Amino acid sequence: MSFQAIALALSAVSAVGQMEAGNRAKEAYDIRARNEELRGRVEAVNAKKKGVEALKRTNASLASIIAGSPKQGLGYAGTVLDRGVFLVGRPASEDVSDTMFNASMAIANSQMRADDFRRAGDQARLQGQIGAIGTLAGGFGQYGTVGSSGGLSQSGNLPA
Amino acid sequence: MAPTFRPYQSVGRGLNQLNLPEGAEAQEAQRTMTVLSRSMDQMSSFFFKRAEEQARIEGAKFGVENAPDVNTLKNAFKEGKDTSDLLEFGNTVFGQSARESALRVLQNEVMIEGTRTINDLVFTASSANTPPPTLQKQINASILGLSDAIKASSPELGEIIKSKLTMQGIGEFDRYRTAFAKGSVGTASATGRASVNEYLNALPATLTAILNTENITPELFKARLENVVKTGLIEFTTNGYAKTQLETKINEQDKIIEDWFLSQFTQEVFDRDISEESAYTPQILITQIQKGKYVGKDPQAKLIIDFMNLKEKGGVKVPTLNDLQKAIANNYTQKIALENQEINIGNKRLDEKKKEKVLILDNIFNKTDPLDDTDISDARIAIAKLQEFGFSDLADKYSETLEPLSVDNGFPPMSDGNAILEVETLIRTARINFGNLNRYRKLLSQADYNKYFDDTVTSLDQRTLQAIDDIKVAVGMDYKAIVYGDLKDDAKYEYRKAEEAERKLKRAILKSRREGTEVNPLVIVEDIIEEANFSISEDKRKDDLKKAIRSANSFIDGFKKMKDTSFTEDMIRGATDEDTVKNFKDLIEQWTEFTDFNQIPEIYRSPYMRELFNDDRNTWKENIERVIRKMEKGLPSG
Repeated sequence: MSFQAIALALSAVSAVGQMEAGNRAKEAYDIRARNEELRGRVEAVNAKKKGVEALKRTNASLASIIAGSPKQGLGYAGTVLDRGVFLVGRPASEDVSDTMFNASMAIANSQMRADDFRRAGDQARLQGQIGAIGTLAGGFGQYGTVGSSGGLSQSGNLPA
Repeated sequence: MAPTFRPYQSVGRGLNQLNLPEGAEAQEAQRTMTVLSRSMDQMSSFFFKRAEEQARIEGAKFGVENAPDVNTLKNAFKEGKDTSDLLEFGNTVFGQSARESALRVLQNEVMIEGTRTINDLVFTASSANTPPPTLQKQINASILGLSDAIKASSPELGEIIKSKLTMQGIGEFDRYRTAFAKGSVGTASATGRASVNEYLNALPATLTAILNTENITPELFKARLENVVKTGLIEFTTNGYAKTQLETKINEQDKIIEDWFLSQFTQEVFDRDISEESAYTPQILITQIQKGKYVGKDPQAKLIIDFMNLKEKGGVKVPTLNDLQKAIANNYTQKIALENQEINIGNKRLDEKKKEKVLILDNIFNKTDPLDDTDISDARIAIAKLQEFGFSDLADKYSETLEPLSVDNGFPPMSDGNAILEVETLIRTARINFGNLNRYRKLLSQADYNKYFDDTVTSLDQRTLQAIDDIKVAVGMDYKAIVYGDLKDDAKYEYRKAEEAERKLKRAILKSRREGTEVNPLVIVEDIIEEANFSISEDKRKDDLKKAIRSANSFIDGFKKMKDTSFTEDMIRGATDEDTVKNFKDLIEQWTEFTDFNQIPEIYRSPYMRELFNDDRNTWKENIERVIRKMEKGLPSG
């Protein structure tokens, strides 16, 4: 095997290596994307759990208002409702809406990050492919400049 | 009573912070663009590089094809034209490359042109015997003519060419100058040359005469050599030799002296040491010479070695001990080779002579007719020659063949009465021999001839024995009764000579028998004895005396040279050489049993004595007895 052939083969091996490196980088990014999605869903569930907790507390508070109002001399109209609306209903509804928002945002955020990682993975694979093409092109170019006697004959090169 | 109302308690959870994306995609997209642009950069720079190389190659080709030639530049320079843009091809890769290659082409052309011009100038100068300064100016002018023409277009190339051609010009000029000096400085006249040549031709003889001067010492020899060298110098200078020629002549003189040392030493050593039977083996002699020791007997060779061992040689160029050793070894080898060659040639010639005689004999014996007297005479001569050449077997074989043929052909049926009387008279008076018997051959019957032949043999045998007795008397010993191994030195020599004399006598008898010629043992033995020179040989003793006195003189010189010695020459030197030899012999005869060097009287403890004492090949006793024997040989009693 000639030295040119050896050099060319080594260039090809290098190109394959670069392609493989790009693929591996893409795989790594894909894994990170999936992790992000999972993390988003976990965060959303936790937010929802907080919402349930807020509702529970609302119920308990409202029950205590209803149960305790005669003894305390409060009139039915006005005051109790007021208490229920202003002291319980308003803050409770804020909490619930916050947790609902947090849950939906967790899903949306994680999806955005996962998409980002996936596209980065595509770019990494593209880099590998570009590098491989560059290496192969350089290798073939060098091969072409070296030249050899292959295909030439002593008599064939002389003028007729 | 405590109120039962339980107000609402908030879960305490507000709106969560927004957890927006990190912008990983944007970061990666940015990185993607970076990777993409880098790849594009690499590719574009690669192709730019290729394009640049292509441009450089094309530029170089263009530069070679469009380089201005030297003559264009020279002509433009002469005409004062502006040539500054001749080598400009634009400030691009193509243009720069074109300029570089054009400059290289131009440089090569100018160097070739310059070299050719310088060579032509030197050749013309040699032919016209131009003085060196003129040539130097011409070379410089031609270099400036070329370099200045280039300078306008390329100052740096102009300088490079100038320096390169200048270096070349200097070399050529220097060679010319040296050759010029050698060829034209000498002013020696024809008479002067002849005189110097005569002097140089006579130099070896002069040196030999100095070497053979009586009582010469190494120091005296050195002084004489110094004088010779000085004389030579005066001879050369007064005869018009100067500078290089003088140097050549001095070298020639040195070479002659060096060669003389080698040949003279070799000759001395061969004359006395290597050619003598009793000499040291040549290998020992040759090995010792390399160490600066001379173990031979030749006083001249010893003087040469002593001189060479002197630290200061008075500025005389002499060969090294190694050279001396090599010269002797080479000469020895050559002599051996020559001897072998001579033997081979001798054998070949003998072989040819043998073939010639054998052919003559075969032709005679192959005749179908009976042999006549001429045939027999020719055959006898041929047989005698074969015997003389040493082919005794062949001679015997042909004698046996000839004998019956010659006899059978020559006998009458009856003997002549007078012939019988005369032959018997010859036998009785012991004068019969093969020659005079042969004269009666045709007058005697075969039976009588055979009888008288036997009588002749008996008579000659008796006379041969008497002749051998004469040899014994001449040699002074009954060598037949003496065992050779019991004899010593000269006696052995005499013994061998006596045996040789006897062999000669017997060969003469045999020859006369074969050829049928006259012979008288008692007469021929006289010639043989005279030729053998058995004489107690006064002449030989005189020769030995010369050797003995030379040796004694060397010893005396050694004693004289010792520092702070009270030795005077008259303690040994007598009125005649014989007296001196005797005195010296008497002196050293007392010393044979010495075992310590200090037993020798102090005035005689010379370096040579010490050498004899410390000789690792022979004992002191052997050495001193050899000297005593040498002295004895030179004395009448010895």
